[in-house]
Amino acid sequence: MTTQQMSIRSAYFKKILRPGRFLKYNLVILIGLSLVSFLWMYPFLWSVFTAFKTDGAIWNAGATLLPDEWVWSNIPDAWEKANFSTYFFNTVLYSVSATTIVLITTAMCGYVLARYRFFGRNIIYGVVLATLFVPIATVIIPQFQLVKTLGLLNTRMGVILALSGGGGLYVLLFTSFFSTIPEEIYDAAKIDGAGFVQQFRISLPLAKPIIATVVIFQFMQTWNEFNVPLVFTFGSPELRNLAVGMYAFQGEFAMDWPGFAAGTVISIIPVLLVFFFFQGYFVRGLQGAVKQ
Amino acid sequence: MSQASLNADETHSRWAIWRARQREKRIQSIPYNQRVSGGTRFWVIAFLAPFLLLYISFTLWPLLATIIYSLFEWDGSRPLTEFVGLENYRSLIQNEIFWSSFRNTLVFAVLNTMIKLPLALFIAILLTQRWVWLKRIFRTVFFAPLVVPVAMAGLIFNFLLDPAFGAVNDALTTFGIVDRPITFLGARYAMISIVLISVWQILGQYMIYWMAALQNVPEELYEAAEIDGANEWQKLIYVTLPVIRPIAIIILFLSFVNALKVFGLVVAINAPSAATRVVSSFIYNQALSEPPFRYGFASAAAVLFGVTVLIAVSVQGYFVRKARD
Amino acid sequence: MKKILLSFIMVFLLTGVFGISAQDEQVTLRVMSWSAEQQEFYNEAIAEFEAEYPNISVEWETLEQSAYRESMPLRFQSGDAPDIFFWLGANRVLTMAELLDQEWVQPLVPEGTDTSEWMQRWPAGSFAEGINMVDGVPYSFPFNDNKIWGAGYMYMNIDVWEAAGLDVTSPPETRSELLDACRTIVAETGTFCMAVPLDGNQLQRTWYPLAGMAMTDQFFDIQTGRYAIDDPRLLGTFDYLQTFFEEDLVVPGFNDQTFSRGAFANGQAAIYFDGAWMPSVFRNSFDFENVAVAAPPVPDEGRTGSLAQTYSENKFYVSSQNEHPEAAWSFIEFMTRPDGFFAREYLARGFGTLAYADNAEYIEDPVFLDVIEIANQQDIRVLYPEPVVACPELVTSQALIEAENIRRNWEFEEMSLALSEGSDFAATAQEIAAEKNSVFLETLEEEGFDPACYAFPEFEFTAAFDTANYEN
Repeated sequence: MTTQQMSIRSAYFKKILRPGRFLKYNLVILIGLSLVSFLWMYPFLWSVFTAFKTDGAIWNAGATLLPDEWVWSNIPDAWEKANFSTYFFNTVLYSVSATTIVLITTAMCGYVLARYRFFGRNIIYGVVLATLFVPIATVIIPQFQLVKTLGLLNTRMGVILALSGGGGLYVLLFTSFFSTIPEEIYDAAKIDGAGFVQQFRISLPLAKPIIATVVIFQFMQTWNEFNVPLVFTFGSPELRNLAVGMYAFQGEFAMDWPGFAAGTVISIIPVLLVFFFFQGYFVRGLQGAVKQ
Repeated sequence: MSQASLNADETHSRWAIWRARQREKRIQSIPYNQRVSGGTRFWVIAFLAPFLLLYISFTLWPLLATIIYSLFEWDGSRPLTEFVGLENYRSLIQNEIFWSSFRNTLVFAVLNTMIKLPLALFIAILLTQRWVWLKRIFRTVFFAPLVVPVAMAGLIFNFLLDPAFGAVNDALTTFGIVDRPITFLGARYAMISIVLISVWQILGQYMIYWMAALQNVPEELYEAAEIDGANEWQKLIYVTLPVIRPIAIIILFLSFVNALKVFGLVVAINAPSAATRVVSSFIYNQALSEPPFRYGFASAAAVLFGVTVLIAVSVQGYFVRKARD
Repeated sequence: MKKILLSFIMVFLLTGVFGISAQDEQVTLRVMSWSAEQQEFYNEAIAEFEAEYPNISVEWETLEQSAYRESMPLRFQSGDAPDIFFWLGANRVLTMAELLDQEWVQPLVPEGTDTSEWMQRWPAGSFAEGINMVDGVPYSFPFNDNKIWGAGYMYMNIDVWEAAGLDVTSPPETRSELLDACRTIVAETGTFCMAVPLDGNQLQRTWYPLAGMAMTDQFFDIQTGRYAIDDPRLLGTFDYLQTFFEEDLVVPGFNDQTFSRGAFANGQAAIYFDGAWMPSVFRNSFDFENVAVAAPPVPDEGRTGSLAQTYSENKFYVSSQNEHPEAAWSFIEFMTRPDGFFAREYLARGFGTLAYADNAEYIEDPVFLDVIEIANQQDIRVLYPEPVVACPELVTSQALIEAENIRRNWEFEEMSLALSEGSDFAATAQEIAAEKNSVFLETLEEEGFDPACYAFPEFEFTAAFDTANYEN
């Protein structure tokens, strides 16, 4: 396709994509989606509003959204009661660190698995694939023993490392994605004298959507993880995270639902922010990878 | 080139040609024939090492330990001394509750995947169209259920689906759709109810996976298709699906194995255990919820389940591949 | 100048070496339990304690029960075990034996302490060898009392009862009376009568009181030494309960305790069976106070059973990794003062009953006081024989555990299913009993123990077991 033909096409499309053209479709879709969205968001909204209810109101009102009586103290109480300020900092630290580590290690591994053939390549891929099937019931005990042997108990490093060890499925995603990048791109770079690492760096921008995916999910998963931060910090409770702090609302005989909801509200804001920011990578048309 | 209306046959063959060309290209471009040599070898190892180290330490070693534990009777506190060999496996194989959980888990995983993947794909396509407004807001809407703690989700759905006072039954009876309230969480409908609730919960995750996959489709292809008169459906079949096929397979796979591990929702939703017990909740209830803990038994159940499903999927994959060739 | 500095340093060093004796050294005690609701109370009690013992600082950490249980073995392995911890073992009576086996505990008191006066804070017989004492040295103490605290009470929603025109102060006493009252309630108010949780093993909350009044709340018949869910008295209890379901008197749905309590508090049910903790739970977690309590209904022909009162409340232990026995003992002594801050406030806030304090004196909640009265006057719970006391070698037996492990919560799961489906339970009951007994007896035979150790034919469920009978 010549450049001229391409520019004719683009002009054609710009004409087609005037806002007015799609107004009808948009209205229909917006109405439909808004209805679905309200139903979809209902439990989420209910969870948020519960943070402002009294204990009894939950049972009197059932599934009703808005509280009759607004209680404003639950959120500040949760912040203090569950030690949330310390835990918040820890949680941010763990999530950012683990996400970075997982992102870098799985991208590198996926790239190599996709591009090169070497002894053990299929074994590695197959093992990563196979281990996803087993719902490991007792994972925390062997991890604990390992970290204890390494002398990393009660350290932030130990927690972060343990949180970074589960990236198997991201490797699969990266491998699959990197496999679709044709060799011509690397050939062009090699002509320009690019070495191994530079070739890798070329492929990274193309992998933005997978990177965004990994970031969102690893961040969220680490954010909500409570087993590791609990078990690896027995001697130093100040290293714990929000998910462990949320236990403060589970009493011996009953759960403090408004408090729990308040803790949840505090806890989900950063995750939502990460999502809102990184989802920008998913707008179509940002990248045109393959030239015809 | 810029004819607005080609008839269906020509359109079809154009895509067929394009697809064939792509396949050729892909085969050529897979650098599988690239052997690792010299300096590259160093980098390959350097790139593999960090992940493998972490993975072996925190995923593979625990899996190995699990297999070891499964050969013992162990309560987690005393030293690991009571070797029982395959006794745990034997008692599991004879345990009808285990098999009931196994069946339920498979049913759940299949139904869950079948419903959520197409739905998520549809939403993903919709929310990546350039001409749709307010995309960010809607994407966040579908993402939101992922951050709701499962305990809260359980509570609200228990409320909503309650046969006596729940909002859903209220609505159904008021609008005359049913005469008597439906026990959504009774033995008959509990499984499908939980499947639907879990689809609600996890759809956002797969929407994101699909959105990432859709990025792989070059814009030019859609433009070409539009100019040649393809409608949305044709674009989907002939452009989108073929291009994202490799990663779609991975997504399908991930969806299935993740669904096999369902736990929190099943515990939080109140329903008869016969209808909703899954392998993870079986392990928890029979081995880990009250002392004495039975780590050996729990490990055996996990291994037995994982290996059985792995074998089943591999066998199936083998036959599918054979059929295609 | 130098001289003054030098003398300062000397004084400083000397006080450092000689002045700081074991008494004055700053000690930190770590205590753990799983009652997160009581965290504020613990903090206040600690403040009182630290005022009295300035050189001991205490940190009390609470954690949700299942995370607590899972992580405690790991704490011991990592050397980070707390100094004092709350624990209930697989067998609540034999918890001390389990903990000794795991090497988790040391005696409550430093060596050589005379505890005879301290033990007088409890009623006679509270300390028993092999239960909470070894060679006269205590390893634990009864915390909650075991007569009042536990399952077995019938709670009534006063609003609903009055709306139905019934008198809450003369509650139904027999099963027929309860059934009639329920029918009246449903007919008059259009709401449901009973809230019965079915999820998991939570049917136990309703089952224990009803079955206890007919025979026993246990599934193991301590009279015959066998599992006996198929005993006619227990099957009769099941049929009675099923009647309520068949007549739509029960809040529908396969609810859990949270839901059932919520329905009750919300006026959607008039009756809810549960334990002595409910007045406090209703008030704090459901904002509901209009509750009355009564004894569970007895069979029409009269009461023929009881709930088990056992040595089940020894809950606090000093861990083997504690390095300050004196400090730990100071704290425990502080906790167990009958008129001390801990006991007074614990009772006043309605957290529970205490085995070493006068419950009626300090508890303020009127409903809770009613609970205490019912327990004391009606002897809902009587002392049961304990096999381990008769045959001490049974401590190592796994027979009961093996029988339980066939399928945990078997009886409750099957009963819940039968109740919600409206199906028959008798055949399943026989199957359960037969299989449990077979595994039980097989295991005993392998271990070489005598099944007769588990049977106490002279025990009648309606009267407390006479401990003199252990001598045979």
